[in-house]
Amino acid sequence: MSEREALVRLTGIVKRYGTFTANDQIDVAVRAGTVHAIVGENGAGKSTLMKVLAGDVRADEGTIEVDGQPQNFRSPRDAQRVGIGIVHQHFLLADALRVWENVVLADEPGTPWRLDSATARQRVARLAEDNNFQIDIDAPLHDLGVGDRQRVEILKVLYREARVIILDEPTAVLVPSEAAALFRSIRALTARGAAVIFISHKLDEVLAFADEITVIRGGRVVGYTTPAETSPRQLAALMVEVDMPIVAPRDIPVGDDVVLETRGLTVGTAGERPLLDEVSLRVHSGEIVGIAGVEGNGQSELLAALLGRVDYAGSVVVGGRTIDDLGTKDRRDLGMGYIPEDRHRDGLVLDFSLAENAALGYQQRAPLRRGWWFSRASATRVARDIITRFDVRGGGPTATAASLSGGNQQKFIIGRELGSHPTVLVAAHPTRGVDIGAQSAVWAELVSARDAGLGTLLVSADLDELLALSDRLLVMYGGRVVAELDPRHVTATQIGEHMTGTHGR
Amino acid sequence: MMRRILVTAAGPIVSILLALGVTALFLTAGGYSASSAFEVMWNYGIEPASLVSSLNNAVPLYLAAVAGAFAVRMGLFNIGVDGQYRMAALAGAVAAASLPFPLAIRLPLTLLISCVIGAIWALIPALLKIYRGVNEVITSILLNAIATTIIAVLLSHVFRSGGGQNTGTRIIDQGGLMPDLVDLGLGNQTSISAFVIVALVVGILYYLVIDRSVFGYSLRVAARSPEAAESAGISVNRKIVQAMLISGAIAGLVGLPHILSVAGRFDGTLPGDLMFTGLAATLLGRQHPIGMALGAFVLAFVERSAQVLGLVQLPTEVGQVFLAVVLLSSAVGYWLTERADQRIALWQAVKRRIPTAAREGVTR
Repeated sequence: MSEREALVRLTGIVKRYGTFTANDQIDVAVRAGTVHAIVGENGAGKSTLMKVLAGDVRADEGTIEVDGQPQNFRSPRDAQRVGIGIVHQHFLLADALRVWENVVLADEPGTPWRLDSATARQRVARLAEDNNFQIDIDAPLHDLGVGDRQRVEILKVLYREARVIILDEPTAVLVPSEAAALFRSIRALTARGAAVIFISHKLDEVLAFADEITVIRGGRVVGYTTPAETSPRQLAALMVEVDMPIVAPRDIPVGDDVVLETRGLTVGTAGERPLLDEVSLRVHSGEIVGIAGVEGNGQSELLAALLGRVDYAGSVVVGGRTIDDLGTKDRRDLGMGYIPEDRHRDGLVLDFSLAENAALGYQQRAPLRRGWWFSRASATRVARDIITRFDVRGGGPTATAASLSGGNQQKFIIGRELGSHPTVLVAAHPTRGVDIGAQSAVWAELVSARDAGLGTLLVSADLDELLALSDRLLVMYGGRVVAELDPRHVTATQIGEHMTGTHGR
Repeated sequence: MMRRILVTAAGPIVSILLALGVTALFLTAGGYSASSAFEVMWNYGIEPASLVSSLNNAVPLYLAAVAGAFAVRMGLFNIGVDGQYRMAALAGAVAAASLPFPLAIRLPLTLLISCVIGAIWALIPALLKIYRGVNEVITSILLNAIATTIIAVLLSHVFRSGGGQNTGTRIIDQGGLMPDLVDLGLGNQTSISAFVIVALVVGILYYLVIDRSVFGYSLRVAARSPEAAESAGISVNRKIVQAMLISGAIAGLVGLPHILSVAGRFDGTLPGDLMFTGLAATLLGRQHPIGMALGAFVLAFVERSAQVLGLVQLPTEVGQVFLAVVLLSSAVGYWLTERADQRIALWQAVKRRIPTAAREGVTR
């Protein structure tokens, strides 16, 4: 590739945090009109590199060139000015504002004294339409699911006319059809001369979608390739020294007793289309029941209803006992383990130590509860057990949850929920945003818990995960369970049809 | 660990030094000698009578500080301590004067009644917050004003004893007053009130409940991450109500040292600034049970020693200036020490890593 073609060129980027070198002499060149994937394990330094490029952090060494001009970003604003936009993995949106307000925020049309809302709305509406984003731009953000939130983030970047668009694990929250739509709109952008930098763990996606691939491991560039020259296995081998996770077929049969049952579970406001519509399902002991579906088709409501966090009609039965009258606390005490959708929002308290986080959800039970008292010693012991057993890296029981990387935070949560010997586990996206090594560890834990007789309801946007783990696969669409499939004899196309409501049409 | 303590202590010390500096500037600008003013204050402040008085005066400040801290730990700002303690003090004064029991029963009952009234007054903003979404700061400020009116009405029409200029409740007899803990006998007014014990008990309870109990744990989770709390089975709304009830109950004790040890009845002499000075102690002590005690004592000491300035033709407002600067500089002090702490932590980490790295290099 010639010097002239590179729209963005990073040369010799070094970034240290204390004594830890997150980026060690990284060179990357991204050409206009291409999609450049950067792949690597959690903690490989991808996010740091992107933060350097987006002006969030300053590199200790190295240069950034855009269009051949050396740049010195003092703030994200400087990076935006030369056309670099980033869509973060964890969204940065104002819940209280509407979609269009979030998009124009800080770059509002109008005078400094007056927001020209008509123009702003119109521009955002046009932008959404041009890019085929089906989103209600007047909806308040707190009503939106994860998929829609991401669309808002992308709209924000597009609104600022970014020429270099960084997507930090954009498909982590999307289902295949949504991802395909995302890729189509990204292609439309590259056709107009933009460069897209795409960070992902999903190798098949990278291979299908990227033009060029840079592999990072331990803060260094360890490989550069193109999809034509490589395969998923080669790429995975380059990224980590483990194979792609494979789940062996089960040899312990599913139990007979029903550990979790819902009967006609319905959530919604009277007079409107229910968000969760008459969902009846059963989870047996030693069984993993997968829930597939496009984000926002009732999965969040199902989770909330099971946990007793929303009002619902119908009933929930755990181990033969109807628990509709019980609050969240009593349900957790009955042994309902919960791996939440969003680990930062409701899985951890980020500025608490791991010891204190180990008690989260179990604070009402021995050994953490001793009469009135909270046993710090037990909390530390539990945290240490989780850290050892689940290979949580980044600190001991006194380290804060915030100091761990996303994958390790997730491993910690899973360790906490499985370590408490739940009678039923409600798991949402257990491997979202974690690397292959952690993913296979999490899968192995879920499988061994299953073999030990744990019934699991697994909600996931990752079809590979659902197909690998589920004994039965339910598909949700429009708040209903529309299909029950056998994961051993189903194709991605079939699931896709059910998920998009196009089956049998 | 040692560093942690030093860092925690450094913040308040920085703010106190800043306050001294600004007070000195204020005095110098007014044409007074700052050093002689401080000297006079110090000499007066360390007289036994002054120290005893500072200790006694620190008690209500400490109680107000703990009341505020309880709410802060739940992420609430109980600016209604003011109304809560005045309402509770009136109830306590009436109870102490009219309950027909001996001291051993009457005194605990008086404290209990004051706690209950304070808690009820604090419950209103809590309920409005969870059912109507109204910010507790606004409602409790309004409730302070309402308390003023209610007290005025009750005092002039219901609980008033005597006539004319005499606006106060009935004088409490010896069987209802808080006894002295110890009289040092070093001259005039050197008896320490038994309210020091009350403050001590409240401080210990505060520590146990917040730091060591399951309830305190739930409270801190609910304050930092309401979503995580709900998923963990902790009802955030319930925690808001509980935190406000406890905060209000402790606030209910704030006015009693004056009623039961100084005035002997509820009248116009009840200080009205106990909450603000108490909140300064909350900030200064960083909601730490011992830190707040030290903060309360320092503030009471400054207030007491500033009184002498009038005698030597110096402005007694020095005490207020000092207090105001302490409040303002609390935040700055923490910011500075936190930054310094991070630097030190980084430096130590580097120091630890280098020998390790060197060893690894050798073994390889």
